[in-house]
Amino acid sequence: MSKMQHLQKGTKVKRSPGERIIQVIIYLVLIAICLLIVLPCLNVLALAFNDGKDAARGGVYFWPRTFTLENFQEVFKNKGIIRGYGITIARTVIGTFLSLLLLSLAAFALKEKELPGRTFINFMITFTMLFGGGTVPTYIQYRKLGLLNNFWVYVIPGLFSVTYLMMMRTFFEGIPDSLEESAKLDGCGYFGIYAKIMMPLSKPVIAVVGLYTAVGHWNDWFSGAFYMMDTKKWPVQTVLQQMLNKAMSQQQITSVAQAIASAGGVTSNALKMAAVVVTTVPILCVYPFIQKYFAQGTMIGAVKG
Amino acid sequence: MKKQFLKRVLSTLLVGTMVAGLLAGCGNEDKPSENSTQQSEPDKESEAPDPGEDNQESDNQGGDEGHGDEWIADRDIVVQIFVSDAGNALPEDQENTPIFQEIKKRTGISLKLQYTPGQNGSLDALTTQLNAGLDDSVDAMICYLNNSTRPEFPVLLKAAKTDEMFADVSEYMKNSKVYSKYYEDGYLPKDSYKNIVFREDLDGVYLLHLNVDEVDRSMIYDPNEEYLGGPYIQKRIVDELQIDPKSIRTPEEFYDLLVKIKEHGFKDDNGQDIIPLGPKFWGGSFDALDWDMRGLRWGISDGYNMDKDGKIYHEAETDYIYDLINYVRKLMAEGLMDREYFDKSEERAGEGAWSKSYGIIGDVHNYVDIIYSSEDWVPLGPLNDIEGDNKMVTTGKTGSCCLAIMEQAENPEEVFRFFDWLCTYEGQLLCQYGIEGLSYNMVDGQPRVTDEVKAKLNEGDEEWLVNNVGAAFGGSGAYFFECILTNKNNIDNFGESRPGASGGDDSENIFARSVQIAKDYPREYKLKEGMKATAYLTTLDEAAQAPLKEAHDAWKEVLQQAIHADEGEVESIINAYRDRLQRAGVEEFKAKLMEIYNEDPTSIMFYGTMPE
Repeated sequence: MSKMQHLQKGTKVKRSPGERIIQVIIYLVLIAICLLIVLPCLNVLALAFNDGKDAARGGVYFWPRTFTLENFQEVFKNKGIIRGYGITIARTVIGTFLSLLLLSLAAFALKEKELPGRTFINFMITFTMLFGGGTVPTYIQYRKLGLLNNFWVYVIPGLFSVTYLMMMRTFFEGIPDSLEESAKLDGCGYFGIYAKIMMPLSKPVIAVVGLYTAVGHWNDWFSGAFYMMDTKKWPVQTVLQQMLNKAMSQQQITSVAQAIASAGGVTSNALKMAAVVVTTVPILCVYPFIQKYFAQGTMIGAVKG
Repeated sequence: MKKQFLKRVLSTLLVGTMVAGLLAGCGNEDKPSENSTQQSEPDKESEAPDPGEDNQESDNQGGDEGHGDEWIADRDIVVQIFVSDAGNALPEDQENTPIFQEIKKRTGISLKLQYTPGQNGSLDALTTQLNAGLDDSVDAMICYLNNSTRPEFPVLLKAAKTDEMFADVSEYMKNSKVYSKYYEDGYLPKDSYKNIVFREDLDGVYLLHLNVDEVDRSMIYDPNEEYLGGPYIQKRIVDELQIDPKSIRTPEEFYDLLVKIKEHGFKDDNGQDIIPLGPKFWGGSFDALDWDMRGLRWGISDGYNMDKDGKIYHEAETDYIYDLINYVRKLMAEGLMDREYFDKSEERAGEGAWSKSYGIIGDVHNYVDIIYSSEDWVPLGPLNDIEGDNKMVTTGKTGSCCLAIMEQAENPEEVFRFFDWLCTYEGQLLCQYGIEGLSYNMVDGQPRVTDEVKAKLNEGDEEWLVNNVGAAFGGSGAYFFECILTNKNNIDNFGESRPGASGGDDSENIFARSVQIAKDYPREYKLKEGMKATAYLTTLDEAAQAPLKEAHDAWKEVLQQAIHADEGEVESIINAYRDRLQRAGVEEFKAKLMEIYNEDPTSIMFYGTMPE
């Protein structure tokens, strides 16, 4: 009986001392890597829940020394945060849904071998990955399209990603053609094949692309900082970026009046950590629901068969 | 079996390499951003204002039939703001904020303020939007501009000169109430006049420098307004060593003090030995050397100065630089100075200060909470500079912020008249104090903020001030109405240096200690006219500017390398930098500086070792 058969049967396989040592080393290294990831997160949480002035004295590592919710009160005192959350949630939901719809339709079309000019179309799409317009041409384009100071600047430019398109196309190509053929024989049209066969089978890739797109929308502060003149339309990341910039600008004060104005706000590291928690936790809460599909989806395109 | 074993060994090695790579990245700390504004640069009085001038001019903007004298037009004016202090202090609902309503009532103007923050401050937003073209709805823009050396200036100049984005306001200025003063001799600082407002290479006036005081009070010391930067020493050290912190002036006295602190064996809050000299409060910085090694900083003009033979040099080209390097190396070698003085992270520097791990904080000021919230710290010095006195240098009148009216604006004259009106007495009263009866009352002919506003000012409740009144309150409120002003003279106009500065119970003022420090540790000023040498880099050809600018930017790193290097390497590092300057064209630059200096010695700031 081979070792694999033994393992499948649940039989205990005796390891050599060398293998055990290596196993232990691997576990130790993996634990160390986990700690490297988890401990800074604990530090962020500890500082977020610690009094700002006390935190500034140092020595707060993994547990708050002087527990307080004041930092979060300070963060949420800003009405812009609540409004920003609304903008961010709206753009994430709308942007992710529309993006998935467009990408899946495009990937479905591109996977069809009978598509005329398929090679040329694929090439033209892929070619755009090689360069970008730059900030100023992009700004000019948005201005001419009427996207400046407009909510849709958060959604429309990010609707179509070539990387995700290729990911989806590769996944669709992996679905057996026989399913599509038998559906056609039964009188199903292309849209029916797309909606009733392709999409139900594509949960892993939808989860992956959807998660990446949603995280991209959630974390984006750049669009608000450059393309939005109305501060009421800023997403939460831009609001927080400005809040933190304002806190850090205390170094650059050149008048007593400004110093007085800035002294009213909490300006500590603890505030920054509270801001990090406020922006990170919501998206973290989404992940457990799609983890199952995510694990399958991340290997898309990497493994054949 | 063997294959499995080899696979495991290889995978272990791979993982180990990954971990090593991760750990290698852990040691890097963010370099603190450079802050050259910690030095107190008071724009205060030098000479008494001309008593003959009546500053309470009544506005006479023309008006319209059926409207008051202040009426301009029934229209919108859209202003794009590239000033982050202003953008971060805009009312939630501009239209219904009292000051905006009052402006509409009196002038007919519906003022709409827009703000784009950009990535790292407003500069990249300004660059992007001016290069791309502002939206057609924008009538005017405002940005930071202390002087023509600011990075915003080339962008503005290109927009004015090449792209013709701004309107020429010269014909409106001449007959205006306030901006006509810009034509008066000596009214504007030289740089503002020659390089910003009335440039010879422009055929009109496109850029208006703002925040120019009517009267130069830069030499007058007012403890209520003094912003005391520099090193601060622990009060307990002063008491136990029985020293007078004001008496520490020279590098030798400073060294002796640091030695005494170390020998005494002071402990911090955690029971550890303190480091006599710590970094700047906001993190390690090269700039703090300007305070702590003031007597050894020969290159007072952004690294340049003139020697006793009348020749201009960069400090790296002189032997003065070895005095500085050797002094700092000695302090570090003897444990008298934090080895991370130049690059400590903001968090750790702040932690060290709060837990009193430093005997002296390298640089902080009296309006930071670590200073005003207790009596634990007092100012040290200031140390003497290369002239042998400890007076603070002032360049006289200054400006900040720049206003430009867009070429595309409908009726630019109306837009100009509006901003001119804002700078009149009535306009400034509204911008700074708000609405009479709501945020201030007239007391003996002078505006005085209400108790409610005073309390909000003391608390630093900017949100309330911005949303419930909308006035600037000297910069504590809606900062836009502070930076848009010019021809300011609060002392003569309003009887106080800023709204809320006079009167009131000091015990309620959380900054009472800040004022007390300014009173107990007064400073003197000396006037040194002229721009720093690097301001004239733009007089060189464009191709010649870049390598020299890069060399200048690299100087701080080079100096730090020399300080931390082994004994035998210091000279080679400095010599390598000297060669770099030569290759970058420093001789051509120095020749240009000499030409400018010979034409007008007050145009470049040189002092200390010049020929008498």
